[in-house]
Amino acid sequence: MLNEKQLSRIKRIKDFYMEEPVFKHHVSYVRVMRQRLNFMRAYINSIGTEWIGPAVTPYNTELLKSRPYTARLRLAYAEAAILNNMEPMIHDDELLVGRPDYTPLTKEEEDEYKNLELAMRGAPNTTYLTLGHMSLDYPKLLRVGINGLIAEVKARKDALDLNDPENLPKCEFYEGCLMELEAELVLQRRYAEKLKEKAEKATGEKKEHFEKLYEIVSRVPAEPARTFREALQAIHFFSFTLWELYYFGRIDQYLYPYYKADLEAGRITPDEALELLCCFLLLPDAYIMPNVAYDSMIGGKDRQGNIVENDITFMALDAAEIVRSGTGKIALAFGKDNSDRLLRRAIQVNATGATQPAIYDDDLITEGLIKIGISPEDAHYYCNTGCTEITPIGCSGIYPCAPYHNIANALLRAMRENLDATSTKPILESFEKILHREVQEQQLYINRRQMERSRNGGEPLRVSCLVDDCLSRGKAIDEGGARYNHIEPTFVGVSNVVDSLVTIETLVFNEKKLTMQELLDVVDSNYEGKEDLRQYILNRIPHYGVNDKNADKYAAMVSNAIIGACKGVTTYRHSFLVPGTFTYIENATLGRVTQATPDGRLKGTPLAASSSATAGREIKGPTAAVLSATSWDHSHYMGGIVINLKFAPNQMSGENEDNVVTLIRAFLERKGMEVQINCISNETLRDAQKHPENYKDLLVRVSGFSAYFTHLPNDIQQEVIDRNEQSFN
Amino acid sequence: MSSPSTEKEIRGNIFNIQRYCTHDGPGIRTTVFLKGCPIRCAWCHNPESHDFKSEIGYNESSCIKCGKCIAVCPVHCHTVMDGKHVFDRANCIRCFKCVEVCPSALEKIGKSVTVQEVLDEVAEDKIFYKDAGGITLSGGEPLSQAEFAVGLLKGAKEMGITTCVETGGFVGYEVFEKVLPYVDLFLYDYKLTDSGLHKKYTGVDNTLILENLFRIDESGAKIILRCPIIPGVNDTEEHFSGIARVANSLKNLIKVEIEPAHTIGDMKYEQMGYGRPDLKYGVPDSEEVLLCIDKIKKYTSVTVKKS
Ligand code: SF4
Ligand code: SF4
Ligand code: SF4
Repeated sequence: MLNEKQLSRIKRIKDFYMEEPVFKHHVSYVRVMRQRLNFMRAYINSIGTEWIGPAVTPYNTELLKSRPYTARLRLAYAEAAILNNMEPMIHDDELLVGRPDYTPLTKEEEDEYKNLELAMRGAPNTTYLTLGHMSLDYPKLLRVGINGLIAEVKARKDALDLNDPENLPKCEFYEGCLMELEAELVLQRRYAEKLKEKAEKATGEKKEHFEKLYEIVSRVPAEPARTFREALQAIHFFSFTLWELYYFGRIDQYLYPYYKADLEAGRITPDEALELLCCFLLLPDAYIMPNVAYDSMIGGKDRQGNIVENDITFMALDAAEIVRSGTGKIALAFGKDNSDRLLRRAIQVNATGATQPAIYDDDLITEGLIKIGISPEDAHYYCNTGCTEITPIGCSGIYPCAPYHNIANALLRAMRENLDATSTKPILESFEKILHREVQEQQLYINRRQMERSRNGGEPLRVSCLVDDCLSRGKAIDEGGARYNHIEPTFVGVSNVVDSLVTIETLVFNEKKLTMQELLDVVDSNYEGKEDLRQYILNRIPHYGVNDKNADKYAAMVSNAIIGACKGVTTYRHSFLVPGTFTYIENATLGRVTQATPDGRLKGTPLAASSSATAGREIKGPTAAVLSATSWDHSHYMGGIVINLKFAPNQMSGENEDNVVTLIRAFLERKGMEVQINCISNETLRDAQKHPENYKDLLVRVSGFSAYFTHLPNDIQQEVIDRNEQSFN
Repeated sequence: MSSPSTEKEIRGNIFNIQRYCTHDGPGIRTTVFLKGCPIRCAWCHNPESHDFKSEIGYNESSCIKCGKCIAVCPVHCHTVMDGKHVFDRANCIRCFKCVEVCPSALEKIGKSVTVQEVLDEVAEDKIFYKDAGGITLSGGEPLSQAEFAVGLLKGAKEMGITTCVETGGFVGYEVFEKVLPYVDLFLYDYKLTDSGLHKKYTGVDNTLILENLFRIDESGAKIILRCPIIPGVNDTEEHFSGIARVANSLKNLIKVEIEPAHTIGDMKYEQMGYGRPDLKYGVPDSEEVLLCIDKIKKYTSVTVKKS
């Protein structure tokens, strides 16, 4: 563990990052303003108004060279301009460097910004669809460095036969990659120069500190990393300029060899490594939008199927416990062959209120990925990207969370189409059809955007340099260069629909208390004057989440309907859909505009989060909750499933730790995909609502992601409390 | 009760099956609460466990004043006064018609179930029991429904599920004899050393209870001694040394568990229509509990822990 000096350094860095504008103003994760300004300047200027030559006379080659002039190259040119024009940002305490420049725009710059925004309206929109949400092949970056990537791209470009028009897009792609990669080097040099300057001015310990950093930053990411610290610096530096979610993947697998070598050579102590890892996990707080999961994954297996549990696996958990970042978090892949020691440590970290690691069933996920055609090797080497969406590392062009479908609405429509039904069967059939139509319809728009991006670009091209098989195919991710390209739509309101179906069955078909039309009238009127019926539904009808066989059967049927609705829908890149039930905060957003539902849910209140039972309904405790949650097959849901378990802090420590171990082992044995643990008392949460100023870094697990509680909208805060109310004892 | 054709069809009255119990024996356990208790501890926090017959629980704060109960009660126990729903059980014949129609506030406490039905629910959690966890019978006094208890314990053992019985010990020894082969662990209450005080606070003296305790110990049963600490009643040096004395003379004792009193039950008294308990007992804070543990430890080397 860290000493006082190290701990206070970590604290200073964390406080500093939390004061930064990314926290203060929730800066959109599309771009920081200053960087966006540079981007727009370059983009607009990338096409000159000069006359570059009539067809009859020779072209002005010099001018042509300086003007990228194709849509995609203009983007790459502007992207490079961001890097070329960025001011290095260095805080005295930082052991790893690289942060965006948040200096506010001057008055003139603001005016310029506004004008350029207007001019940019003519430019193709490249951001309207998920960016990022994938993990890059960082091990490759560490192996070959940016110089190695440049060499590879150049060689591939030079090998192209440009007489073959098929090769023109490839040439364009490689050229764009080079522009961006070379700009990375420029930025790296500027950081190095600034560090040198700082070292020259400083004395004593400080001088040493900056000299050391200068040495590291002069080398990476341009050259291959040689040490643990160089490795961390290299991947952070490459990723921070992307301002999006390009996950670090299995850090314990690829960092361990560097650590081991350092240790053996006496270059590092375990404490120093831990401190560096802490800094590494903190950095995303400085440039990623708050309340978004930027997990690094540990544990599980390597590509060959060998168990991974090494010093870095455990060190990452220690770091998570110390840092407690809401953004840079640790996720754990855990299969039946992983050790109890690792699981215990994971539970202990959760018990401290660190809201991490979430635990992913390694065996189930590998099985699920193989099912959708991912090679066994890639199927071991996945991580959660976005929040809980599963994608293979370094070869993914997969779009998670595109889009969020509100399935409660689909059910209401299915009810209206089946007023004379005598069982839930036809309702479910209509439900699936309606959902299928909706999915199909939405997919058209997504496909169109993919098509548009395939022409004009979207992801920065340097990203494609670390995604297989983009370079070998000569195609960017947006052209379908990645190995895997399916889309993961997500479905919101699962347990609302399940509970609604149970309610319909009970009230309309079994007890015949009212007709379908009457039930619809009641929900359409938001249970106006029918509170007794609503209470009856809430208290007397068994729900999903209590291990009720009938309700659980409906969960399986709803799940099948969702899978059915996705079947046969194809994507622009000739791929297919893989559903998820991950809801982020959309269950509240969509809930706000959704009428009352037959499960007793009132108009405007949040829909259920992911596939967990509706808040407050897991009244039979965690074993029953786990049995319900795992009563249906999760292996089709690589788009992500979240099951929440809540414990009071004392229920996780001491002798109770054994019980939590057993509970989670059983969850995994029953092939539950992902489980996350909330361990915080409601007194604390209520107090935080009243005095947010005292709880700036209070973390809660929401659904697939952790969030700083006081940053959450009110209705989500309330939902967290409601869920917690059910804390098992 | 008509004689059941098989043991699995024996009926008993239970008022709850609680899963994921982590305080009533080792591991993850499912605790079955059998209704009815032959004694009345003044501090009991389980008033719904006293009566052997099913009764009505009423949670005023959940009442939405829909008046449905008023319409169905044959003896007019439910009325509205000053816009408030009032429930007077004096004439109640326990027909439970009101519970059937009530959407939220009325609850039937106690349910007649067969051994098989209970075992089915207990078996649901088998995956969580592993080697340690299993079924716990609690109450009330689970051994007061002897046949039913035997059926449950035997059935559980047949399914390879470990068994615990939490008992106050106030039943004839023949009941212990019947259950002994099927019980892995007894959680045995030891409330008061002074027999006179025992009678004052529970209605019965502790002779039979102690006798039973030593006899099951003789026959090799594993025992955890559970001692509720109620300030002002039994937090005395005499009782602490008494606990130690009993503990020292048991051969198969695993440990002594101290159960600090709590007030969770107070609300239930009102919901069950029993009014507030006569005695309002203080709750020992965690420091006092540690102090009690230290005092007991002066007289014994067995493990003494907070439960
Ligand atoms: S023995 Fe237990 S259930 Fe019976 S009155 Fe005493 S405390 Fe209550
Ligand atoms: S149980 Fe029957 S008699 Fe008693 S209050 Fe209810 S309806 Fe009336
Ligand atoms: S039926 Fe239930 S909710 Fe309605 S008035 Fe009676 S007790 Fe209250």
